[in-house]
Amino acid sequence: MTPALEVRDLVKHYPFRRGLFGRGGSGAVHAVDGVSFALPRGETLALVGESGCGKSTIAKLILRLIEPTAGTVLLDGQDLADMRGEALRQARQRIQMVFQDPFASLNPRLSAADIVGEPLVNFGHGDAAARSAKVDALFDRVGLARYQRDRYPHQFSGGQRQRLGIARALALNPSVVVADEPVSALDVSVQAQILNLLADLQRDLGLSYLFISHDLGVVEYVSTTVAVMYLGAIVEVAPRQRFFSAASHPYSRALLEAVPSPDPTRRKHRSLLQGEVPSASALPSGCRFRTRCPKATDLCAQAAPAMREIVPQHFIACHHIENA
Amino acid sequence: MAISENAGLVLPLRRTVAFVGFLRRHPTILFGLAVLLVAILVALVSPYLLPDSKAINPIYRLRPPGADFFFGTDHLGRSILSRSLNGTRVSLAVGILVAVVVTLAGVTIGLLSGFLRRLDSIVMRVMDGIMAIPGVLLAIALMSLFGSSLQNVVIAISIPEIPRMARLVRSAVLSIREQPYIDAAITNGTRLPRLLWRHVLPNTVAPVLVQATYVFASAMILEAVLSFLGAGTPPEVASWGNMMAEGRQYLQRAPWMTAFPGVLLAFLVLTVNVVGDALRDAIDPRLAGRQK
Repeated sequence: MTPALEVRDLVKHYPFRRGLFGRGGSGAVHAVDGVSFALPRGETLALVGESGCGKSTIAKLILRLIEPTAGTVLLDGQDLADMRGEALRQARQRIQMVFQDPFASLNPRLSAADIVGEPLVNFGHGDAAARSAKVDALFDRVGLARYQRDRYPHQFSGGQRQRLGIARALALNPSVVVADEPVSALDVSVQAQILNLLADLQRDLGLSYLFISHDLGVVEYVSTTVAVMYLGAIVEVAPRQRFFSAASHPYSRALLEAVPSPDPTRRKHRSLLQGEVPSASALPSGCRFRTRCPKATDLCAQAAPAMREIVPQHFIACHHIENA
Repeated sequence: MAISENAGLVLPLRRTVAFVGFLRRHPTILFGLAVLLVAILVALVSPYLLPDSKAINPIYRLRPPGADFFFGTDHLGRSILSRSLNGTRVSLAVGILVAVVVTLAGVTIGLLSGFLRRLDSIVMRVMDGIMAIPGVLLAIALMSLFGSSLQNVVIAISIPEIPRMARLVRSAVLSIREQPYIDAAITNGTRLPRLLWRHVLPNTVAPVLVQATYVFASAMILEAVLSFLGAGTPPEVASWGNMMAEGRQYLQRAPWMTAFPGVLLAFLVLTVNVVGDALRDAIDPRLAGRQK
């Protein structure tokens, strides 16, 4: 079966010139540098990584909110990356997005019902009465009350706003939902409600989620598969249980060890990462993680490690991990 | 359900209630709007209630203000009171029309050049070109080209004012287009015209409204300047600029000829500016008290 969403060798470079008239030479910020992954139907792929590693850029590239430099984005086997105009607009019905900021992602001048109903108007779904009924159904579905239809975004709480954003994303019955840090702006108690809502929707509607997050606690709760990004590239992919028990890439290990433990007697030995993330416009030679890697050797500086499958479904890009 | 059936009816009512509440919280705006309303009323009614402003009566020429002529008479014996109040018509008409024309043109240009980057560099260079010429000079040149009539005055004053409005809208659009709700609208399949009309335009209303009041005020001044220089409304029309121009020759013998239209112009411009300032402060409290 074809995956719901497959990304192959996605690249986004932002070229720049230094100095007056480019005399300082030119270069490019490698925001996303050859990312590939597949999202099977009905599953959740969690994309994790620290700020600035290119997670959100990938979300925008997939939805074509920014133009990819190279690569393909296959939605049900169709390439989104070279569609244009009306074809692209039609294809967007099948892939929708939930945004990080529940405040800035809702137009402050539209009422809640208008926000949720907009996608239906854009694609001419039914007459006004049918659309209104559909909006009511969506409100029920995401746990908003119908009497709140005529309110404006500023009259809702953060969690309610995110429910509005989810209702809007569901209006067109998409098969794939890209959720870019959907709960990171919310209180912890509200986070749980929204995550449960997303899980219910997935179960009932068979949605596939690309779930972008930097919070491993959240990822452990929602994901089927975890992909770790570092500096514009994926360094490890593993099924959830495998990842949280046996992540092997030094960067993944560092991320997991940085999660605070609720048990004070269980002090883990921590290998905190040294140094800073290198600039995405001057990547290190070879492995991009070598400047901060405790295991780095000469080999790491000479050759970039390729993605290898060390056990079935567990992929890793590192020279120093043996095949199991 | 009763609620959803009434939804169409409830919303306008709720907006009216919200507007009344807004005015109660901002008495300056309420007062300013009341003054403007009175001025509009005067402009509409005065030609029918007062003696004919065009009636020449040389016997009573250059009479000082008194019981017979509250504001005095001019060098042709015409009542300054009639002429001054009739002059409100010209000033208000020019001010309102220019504000409308400038807003429509400026918003259209700003919206398009803010969203269509290819158009932007060309359009903005044209706007820079217009801005480089002093407004009065450009207006005089345009008036001598078109000939004097009320309609041409509006056009001649609008053209120098358009670039400022266009730039304001463009800068607002540039920041709005980066908002996630625009990304969301695009993902939801919104076509460009609807995107601009429903998602971008409504969010530029606040700064545009404020700028429109400033255009209103400066258009009234510019109209008076043009008329004063003889490049504005035709001489037979009683406008404050024309009256001050005629009064200039009699400034020492009959200062009231110049004083009354001058004071009225200053008062009306001040009112519009105060409303504009209060509106800006009410809409964007961060700017309140600054820029003085």
